[in-house]
Amino acid sequence: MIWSLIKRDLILAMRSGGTWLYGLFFFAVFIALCAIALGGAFNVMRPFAPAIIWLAVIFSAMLSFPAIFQSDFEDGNLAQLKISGQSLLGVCTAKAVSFATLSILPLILAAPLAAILFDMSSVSIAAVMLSIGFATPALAIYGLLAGAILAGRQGGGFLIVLITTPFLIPILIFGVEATQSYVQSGLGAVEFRVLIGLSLISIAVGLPAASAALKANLE
Amino acid sequence: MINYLANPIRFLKFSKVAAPIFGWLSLGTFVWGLYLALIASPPAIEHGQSVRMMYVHVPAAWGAQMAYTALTIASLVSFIWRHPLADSAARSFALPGTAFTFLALVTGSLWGRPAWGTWWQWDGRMTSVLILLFIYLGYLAIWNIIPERKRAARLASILAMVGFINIPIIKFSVDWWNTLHQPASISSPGAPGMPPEILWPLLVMVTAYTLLFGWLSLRGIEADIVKSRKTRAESKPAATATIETL
Repeated sequence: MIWSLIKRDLILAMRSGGTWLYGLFFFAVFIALCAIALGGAFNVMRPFAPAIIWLAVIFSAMLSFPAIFQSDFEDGNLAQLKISGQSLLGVCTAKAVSFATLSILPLILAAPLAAILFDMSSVSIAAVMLSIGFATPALAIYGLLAGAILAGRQGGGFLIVLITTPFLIPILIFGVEATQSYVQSGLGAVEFRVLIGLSLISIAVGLPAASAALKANLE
Repeated sequence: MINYLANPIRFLKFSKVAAPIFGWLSLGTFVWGLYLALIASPPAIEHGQSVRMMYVHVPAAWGAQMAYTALTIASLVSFIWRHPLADSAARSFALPGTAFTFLALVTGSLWGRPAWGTWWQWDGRMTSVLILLFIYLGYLAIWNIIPERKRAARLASILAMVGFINIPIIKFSVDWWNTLHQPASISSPGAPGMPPEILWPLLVMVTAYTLLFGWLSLRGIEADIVKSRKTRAESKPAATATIETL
C-alpha cells in the first residue's frame, strides 16, 4: 500500500506539468539573491556558502510543506484512505518518502551547481550534499507533521513556518556544523551521527504525531 | 483530588475559592519580594545595582519553563483521555507562559546591557529561550486558526508534546553550537554559591511568580469553561433564509 501511494504521488507529480520543480526554482532564486546581497566576491561568499545552501534548502522545503496534504485533503483522497481502513501511519510514511524524493532530492542534486556559483571546493560540495542527505528524513517528517496539523486550513503558509522553525533549528545547526567538520574528519564527524540521530528521532516521534494529527483532522 | 476536580462544575466551585487565594497571595509575595529585592538586599559585588534585574529575570525564566511543563502534562491528559478540562488548562497555561518567556527575554536583554555590554548574544541559553517563545507562539496560533474546539485541542496537544520532546534536543544543539562558535565568556551569576541575602529575595520572587501563574491559569480555565459552555448553549437555527426585496 505504501509503495503504491508513493508511486501514485510520483506519477501525479510527473504529469503535473512541473509544479514539483518550483521548489528548485526557489532554491536557485534564493541562492542568486544571497550572492547579489553579499556583493558577489568569492572570497567573501565562500565561508558562508554552506550556510546559504542550507538556508535555501530549509526555506524551499518550508514553502513546499503546505502542499504535502493539501490536494489530497481537499479532494477527499485522504478521507477515502481512512474509510478504507488504511493505516494513517502508512499514508504518512508514503507521503514522507514522496516528499523527500520530489522536494528534497532535486535540491541535493542541484547543490553542486549552487556550489559552483560560490566557487566551493569539491570536498565541501560533498559535505553539503551528504549533510542534507542525512537530514532529509527529519526535514520531511517535521514538514509532514506541520502539514498534517494544518491540513485543510487556508492561509497556513506563515503559520507552517512558525510551527516548523523550532524543529528545524537543530537540523540547521548540526547540518551547517557537519559541512564544516567533514573537511577535517570526514563521515566520522560527530555532527553526522547527530544528524542521523535527529532523523531517527523524527521517525520515532514525528511520524506517529503526524498520523495522529491527520486523524484528528479527518474526524 | 484530580478525579474530583475533573468535573467542570466542581472545578468552577473550587476555582472560585482557590483563584482569589492565589491572586492575593501572589500580590502579597510580590510586594514582600520586591521590597526585599529592590530595597533590602545589598548590591552584588561584581554586578552592582544591576543585580536587582535578576529578581525579575530568573523567576520569569523559571515560570516560562514551568508553564511549558504544565502545558505538556495537560496536553498529555487531553490527548489520552480527551478531557475538555485538560484542554482548557493547556490553553490557559500557554498565555502566561508566553508572557513569562517574553519577559525573561526582555529583562535578560536589559540586564545583559550593563552586565555584559551587549543587548543580545547568540548564546545557548538565550537562543533556546527564544525558540521556546516560537514554540509558544506556534501553539497559540493553532488555537487561533482552528475554529472547532475539540480538533484544535487535539492538534495543539500533539504539537505541545512533540515540542516538549524537542526542547532538550534544541537546548543541547544550541549549547553545543555556542561552544563551537564562541568560547563561553558568559556565565550566569553562580547559583550554588549565592549568599542568603540574595537567595532569599530570589526565592520569594519565584514563589510570587508561581502563584501569579496559578492565579492567571485558574482564571483562564474559568473563562474558558464559561466560554465553551456558552457556545454550546447557543442553539443554532437549522436553516437561515434571507428574503431580499427589490
